[in-house]
Order: sequence, then C-alpha cells, then structure tokens
Amino acid sequence: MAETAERHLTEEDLASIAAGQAPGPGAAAHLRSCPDCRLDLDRTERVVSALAAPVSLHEPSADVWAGIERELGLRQDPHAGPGLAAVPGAPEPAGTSGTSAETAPGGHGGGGTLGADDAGTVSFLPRTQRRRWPVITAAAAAGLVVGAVGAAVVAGLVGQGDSGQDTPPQPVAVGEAVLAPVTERDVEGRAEMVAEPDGALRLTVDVSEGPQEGYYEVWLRDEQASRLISLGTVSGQTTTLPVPDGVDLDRFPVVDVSQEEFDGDPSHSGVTLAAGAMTRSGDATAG
Amino acid sequence: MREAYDQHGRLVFSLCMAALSNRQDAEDATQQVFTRAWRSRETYDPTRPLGGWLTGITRRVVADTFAARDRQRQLVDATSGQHQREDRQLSEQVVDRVLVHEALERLGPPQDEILRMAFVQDLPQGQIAERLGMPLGTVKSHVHRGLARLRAALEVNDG
Repeated sequence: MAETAERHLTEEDLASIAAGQAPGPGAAAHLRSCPDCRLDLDRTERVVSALAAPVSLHEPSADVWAGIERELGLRQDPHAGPGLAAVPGAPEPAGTSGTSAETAPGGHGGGGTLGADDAGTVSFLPRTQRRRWPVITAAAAAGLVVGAVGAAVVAGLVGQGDSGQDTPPQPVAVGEAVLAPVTERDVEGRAEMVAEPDGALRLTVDVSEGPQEGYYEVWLRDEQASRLISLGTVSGQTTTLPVPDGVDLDRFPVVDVSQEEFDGDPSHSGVTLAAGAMTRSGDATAG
Repeated sequence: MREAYDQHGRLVFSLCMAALSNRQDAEDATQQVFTRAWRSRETYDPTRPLGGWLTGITRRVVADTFAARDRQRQLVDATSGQHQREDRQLSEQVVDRVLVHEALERLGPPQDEILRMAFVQDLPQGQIAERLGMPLGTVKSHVHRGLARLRAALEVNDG
C-alpha cells in the first residue's frame, strides 16, 4: 500500500478496512488526522454491519394510505401538484369520531372550502378572531345581564346586591364537549364551558390521563383545524382555563387537546390526543 | 404528500415493523407518521432530506407507541405491583439496518446483488467475479460505488 498521511482514504481503503482488514500505516496516520475520513469510515463500517444483519422490508398495505387520506381529509384532487405543501385539504382529526372509519373519502365539507391562499399554507397559527358574541348571548338568555365586559362586572355586582335573592350568582353553563380519543394513546375527556357571574368564560377540561412527557395544550378550533386559539396548558387531569372574551364559538366550536413537546414551538404540534365539538347549553345561540 | 408516501412509505413502515414487530401496530404507526408529518409540515426544512425528517418522526411515534404499550401493561400489572418500564425505542442499529437495506433495494442490479454477495453472504470478490462472469475490477468498483451510495443513505439518520 502506498498511502501517505495527506491522502484521503479511497473507496477501496474504506471498503477493505470496514471489511476487517487492518489499515496500512499511511491510512492509519491519515485517519488520526482527518475527521472526514473517520466519519466516512465509521459510516462504511455501519453499512457493512447493517448489510450483514438481515432485516425484512415491508410494503404497507393500501389501508395505510387510505387511513392517512381519511384522517387528513385529503381529497383525490386532480389539481394537486407534487410535494408536501401542494395538496389542498385540511388537517382533520374528526371532531367526535376519533380515528374511526365512518368518514366518507373527501367528505368533511370543509376540505374544499379553503381559499386559494390557504391551499398551501393551512396554518396552525391562531388568526385574528372576528368579534361576535354568541356566548354572551347565551349568558344573557340564561338570565344574566351581560353584554360587554364592563357591563358584565356591573351585572355581577347588581346580581349580588340588588336581586333580593339569597343565592349568590352561579356560573352559567355555556356548553360542553365530549373529547373523543384521536390517537391510539386513547386519551379521552370532557370539557365544560361556563360563564362566571362576572361574565368571564372558563373552560374546565378533564382528561383521562395526564401528560407522560411534554405537556398538553387546549385549543378552540374550527372543524378543519385550520384556525386555532390556544387556551393554555393542561397539568394533571383537571384544568380550568380562561377563555378570551369575545371568542366566536361558532367559528371555533371544537375543543382540542394536543400533545406538545418542550420545543419552544408555540404552534399546534399536529398531534391531537382528543377532540370534540361543543354542544351549547340551551341552544340559545343557534343561528 | 402522496409522493412523499410513495417514496418513503416502505422505509417508514419497515422501521415501524422492525421496532414494533406487529403488523397492525406498525400500520397504525405509519399512518401516524404521515399524518403527523403533514400536520407539522411547517417545521420541515426542505433543504434537508425528507427521509431523515420522516425517520425522526417515526422514532417519536415508535417511542409513543411503546409508551402506550407500557402504560397498558402497567394497568394490567398494577395489581401485581410489577413495573417493567424498559425505555424501548427504535435503536440506531435498527434504523441503520432498515435504511441500508432499503437503499440496497434501490441500487438495482447488478450492484445490489454484488453487495449482497460481498457483505451478506460474505463471498470473496474473486468468487463473485467468477460467478457473475465479470472482471474482478468491475466487481470491485461496484462494491466501492455501492458502499458509497449506502453510506449516503445513512446520512439521513445522522441528522
């Protein structure tokens, strides 16, 4: 062998050393001084030992792709170009059905309603919410005079002072949701939203199992999971979170509990553990 | 998405099979890998190999699946008070093996066959040349080029 310390290892050197032959003195000297060649040799050795260990490759059955399409609500769209970002459709953990197979392909209604701008950039970031006040309407319908935050506080005080009744004002149920498991972790739960006497909305979330690693985050979102509002994080199995005033529950009807990692990424991880659409109490806000 | 699946579905599914040794679990896990990938596609850096990114997601899904199994077992074992929580994951060796063998299949003939003869069956290169009726130099160069390509396949596992 005619290696010198300056010369990088050839494929032949790499192959023979990886196959177990002792490197010549030149190659050995070069390896000591060249991290690139050490990495190449290390990888070649890994290739050789991986080759020697038999492993079977498996083609997934057609069910797997069908399941992916179903879960994501992807449609067989002739306009879909190649690549990850070009397929229209919406991430869609079905609101109350977990991963079950009841959804018709291309169903979901919402899959095709995304605008052109949304097609490639279906976003997990909360958007600015329009201001409508169905929740407040619900509270009003339930007998509390609340129309805005200030008025709500006044209403609370009035309720305590002037109503002439002995019972202090109670929170009024706004709605509740059964959170069906979405992943095989089978985390399920329920969520209940109430309007406090002062008008503040709170969502109490019960989950069957607390986080094992990372943390859970609670969201209000639309059916397509293209618009989300983060309400906060879950610790333990029962957590009560404030809901921002003015949130439009018609636009964000689904309660979603996600698995999050401590990665500093504030957006939804994409892993919904449990989700369900909220049923409004009294149906006072229908329409 | 379909393209990503067509290109890497076998790799992901084989990784899941190797780790989970259960077809149903592996299919569920594969589905999760691609749905997770789709939902977190904004975190994908297109300058990096897609296979590496999917392999990373596969590791996490496999770890989650093991964790779920462990918890299930703990429920079962709760009365006996036994807790056996080995932290099983997709090991580096297993990922290497699947990546290498998957890439080997893609090499196509005669390179894949030559590499199999040289490193799976451990035949001397002279004997391979004889069997295939090829000059020894040709066999050698196939071995070298093939190893280089398989080495490149491993890079996706090295982040």
